[in-house]
Amino acid sequence: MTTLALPRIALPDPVAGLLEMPVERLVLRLSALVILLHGGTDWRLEVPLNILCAAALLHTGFLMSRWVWLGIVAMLSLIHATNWSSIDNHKYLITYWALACSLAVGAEDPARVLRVNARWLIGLCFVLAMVWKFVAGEYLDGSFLHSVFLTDRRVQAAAAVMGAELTERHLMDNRALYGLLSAHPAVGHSIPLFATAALRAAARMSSWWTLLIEGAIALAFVAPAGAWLYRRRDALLMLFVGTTYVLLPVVGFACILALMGLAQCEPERRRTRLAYIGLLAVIQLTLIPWGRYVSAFGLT
Amino acid sequence: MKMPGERRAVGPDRVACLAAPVIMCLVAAGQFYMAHTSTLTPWKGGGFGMFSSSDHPGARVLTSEGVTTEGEVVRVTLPLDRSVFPRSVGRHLKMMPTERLLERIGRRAIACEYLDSREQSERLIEEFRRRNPDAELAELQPDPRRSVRVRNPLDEVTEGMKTYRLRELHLQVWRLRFNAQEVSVASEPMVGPVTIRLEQEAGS
Repeated sequence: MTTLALPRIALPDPVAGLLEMPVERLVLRLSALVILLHGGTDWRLEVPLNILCAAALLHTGFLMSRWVWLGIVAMLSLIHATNWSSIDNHKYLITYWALACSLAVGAEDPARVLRVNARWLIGLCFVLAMVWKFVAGEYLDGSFLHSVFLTDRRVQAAAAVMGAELTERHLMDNRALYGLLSAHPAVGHSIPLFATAALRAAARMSSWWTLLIEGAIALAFVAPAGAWLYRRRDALLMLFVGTTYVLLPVVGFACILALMGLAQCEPERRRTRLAYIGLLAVIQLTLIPWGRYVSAFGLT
Repeated sequence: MKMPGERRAVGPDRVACLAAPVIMCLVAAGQFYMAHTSTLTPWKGGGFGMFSSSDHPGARVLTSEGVTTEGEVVRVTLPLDRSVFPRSVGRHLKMMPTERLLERIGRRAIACEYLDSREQSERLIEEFRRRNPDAELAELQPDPRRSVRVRNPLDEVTEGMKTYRLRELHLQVWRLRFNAQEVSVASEPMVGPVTIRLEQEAGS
């Protein structure tokens, strides 16, 4: 088999500098940044966490200190344990990743420890997500996403586009009806929602797409080296992050996935690492309330 | 732990590669067990069941009905925030409601003073009817019972304003379910009802 030697891209100095940095240092630095931005849940955690993460970002000595990372893990674990039933799953993932960082800084080969942890954590995250989607039984028929499209404000603009005759006003009414049932629940009470066949079909397609992409990522990250899916794991993960979090902007989850994607990437794959770094930056665009602009320009 | 394509780690590095994924599996197994044996929502608890089921925290609602010391049956609006309860109580109630938690909330709530309130649902009904004048839904009838809310320290009671005390409080958590065939939402009881009586509190 012949391989094509692709031309090396000339990168601006600062970007090239990022890639020349030892892998573990780059990953740990970005980890401190992601934890600083998305690790906290309340002020008791955020005050000490911000100080430690800032110290790690500012000085390589702190960045490579096991004690600093153990401090971060201890605080994340303590506060997240007290709120265990209410925090989002990406807070768990951030805590596991901080633990991996703390173990890596004292290891013989820190980059390798980070790489192995990142691949397992991504793989397991998607395996577990798939298990739940099958066990809950609301995915294959599209019913879960149908209910989300009909009642979730975050996807209102997209639902109005996909729903054909279904307008944003109908979706607002759906939420009002849902709110009414919340206020007056009773046995036998059932409230019909405004819906269209087009939205039901879109929900089913979206569900199948979700199962397909999440299943592929789960398999790709635990597949043997050289497997067809294994070689496409980065493209799959980037596709997932790039499509899913535009619709449902859970920025913390997107960031930790992109960061671990970068961490599991072999050092010689410079362009893939660069793509992950770019993805981390692009993810921030999901903070823009696109839905509001779509509605304002009358696109729904 | 050896990843595909990696040479096997030895000594401390092996533990370093193993610890976080193993903890993740243990927590997820615990969450999976609890979600199937208790009221824990699949969305929470570290099992990565988010966006897998319509049984999410937002689909769980607390209803409360009280009997005032004057014998009137009223709808009670309980703020599940710091003003009456520790914040964790309100959060926990949506994620994993239990009768014990309802009792804890009830004991605090029955000790409070109440004021008349306008239910949010009345405003919702008005808005909905304005947009959909032809809608015919039995559930869209305003509840005729008086609605009361907890009096907080910033509420000034002026002359003519009535305050209420409760002698009995019934609490229940409901779950809203989406019916894909009928494209409708229905409610079903989840935990409770739990009844708290003032005498019971005074005696305890």
